[in-house]
Amino acid sequence: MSVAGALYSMVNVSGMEQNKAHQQHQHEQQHDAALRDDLTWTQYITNLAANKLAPPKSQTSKVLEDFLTRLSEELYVKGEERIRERLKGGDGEMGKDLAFQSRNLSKEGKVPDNGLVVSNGDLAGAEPTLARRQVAPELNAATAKMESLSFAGNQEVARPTGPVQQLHHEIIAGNRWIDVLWQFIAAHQKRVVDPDRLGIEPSERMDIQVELIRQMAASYEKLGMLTRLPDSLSEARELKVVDDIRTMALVYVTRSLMDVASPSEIAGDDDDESARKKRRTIEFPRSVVSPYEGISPIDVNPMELLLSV
Amino acid sequence: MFPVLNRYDEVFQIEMDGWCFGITNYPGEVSAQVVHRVIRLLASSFQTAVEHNVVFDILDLASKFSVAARCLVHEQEIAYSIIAQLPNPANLHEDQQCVLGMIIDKVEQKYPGVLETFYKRWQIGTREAA
Repeated sequence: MSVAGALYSMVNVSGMEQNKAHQQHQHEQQHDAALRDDLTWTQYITNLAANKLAPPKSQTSKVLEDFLTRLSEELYVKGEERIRERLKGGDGEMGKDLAFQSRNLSKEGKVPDNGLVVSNGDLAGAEPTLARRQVAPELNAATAKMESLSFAGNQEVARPTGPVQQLHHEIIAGNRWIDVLWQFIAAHQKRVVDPDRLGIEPSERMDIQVELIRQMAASYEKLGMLTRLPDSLSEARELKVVDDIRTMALVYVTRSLMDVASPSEIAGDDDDESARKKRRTIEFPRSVVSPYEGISPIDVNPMELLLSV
Repeated sequence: MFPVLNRYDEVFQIEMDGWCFGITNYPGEVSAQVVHRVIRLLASSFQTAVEHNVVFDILDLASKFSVAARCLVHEQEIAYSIIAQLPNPANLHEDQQCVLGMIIDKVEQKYPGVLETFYKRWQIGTREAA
């Protein structure tokens, strides 16, 4: 065999071996993939059986969801006639009847499909409006604030058409509290902010939103509904903690000074010169006593002020 | 050594003890952010102490705050935080600068490099003010 022939046969043999190895590798890969799929599927079934596929809801989400459900039940009623009757009836039997109906619906977990939205805007003509009275006070505060900010009153957003429960799930899908609550408020206000027309900067809008959410969160805290404030309010929480610590520090300082000075000195009955000097020398540190540290009092002469007017 | 004015050292001591008492006895959870916020609040007290010639021990104070906060924040971190709240020497009189120097010197001995760090910071502050 010539050298060329030997080389040809060697190359061919090695090529065949390579092909064979490649096929085997492919086969192994397919087998692994199938095995992996099987394992995934098994895991999926196992998880499904154990009902672990749905992520666990946090306490905050649960509270928010309950809150939104309650508010929606109060805002949604079935039928236009019912609204008219409610407006006529005011606090009468019809109002009680509807409130009772709403409670029943909430107990049964039923929410009317394609329900008519009753917002504060719809009931603006009636005084006092039924919806305003029934809606939670925190939403009322938010509404008042929004109205005071000169919203574009005539611009209406599309009404939510799907089932209320679906709307809730869509809203709760967001992670940020501000976005979630703001979407909810905006949807039920049926009014939108036109920042360009009103000249409101995005940063200002954010401040307004944060302020509203803070008010709502404060009412949550009062009700003891939340175990913790959302992350966006961590600063407010810190301030509250520092305020509490400041109060305790003040208590400590007061006690210490009472130990140092006699009761007569504290009461100021003692006219002794040395005692008076002592009282003058021990003064409260400004950062503990006064929350307005660094702000100097303004000297105003009332007479001059009157004369100038 | 400069004489302490108006017995402010007693007042300063009581105030610091008061804040430590507050942090120690706070029923909830005290985070590191809260401790730093409290120290930021004390900036005016530190300034007043310097103005009254009170040479307070930052290391001792940092240790107290650290213990009060259940050792959540290391005392070195608190010491640096306190120094960050000290007044800019450029805004102080010569005597007060000397007092400030004595205050920082104790920390410099334990943690070398502190003075250099804050000197740069004060220089930037002075430049910005100008």
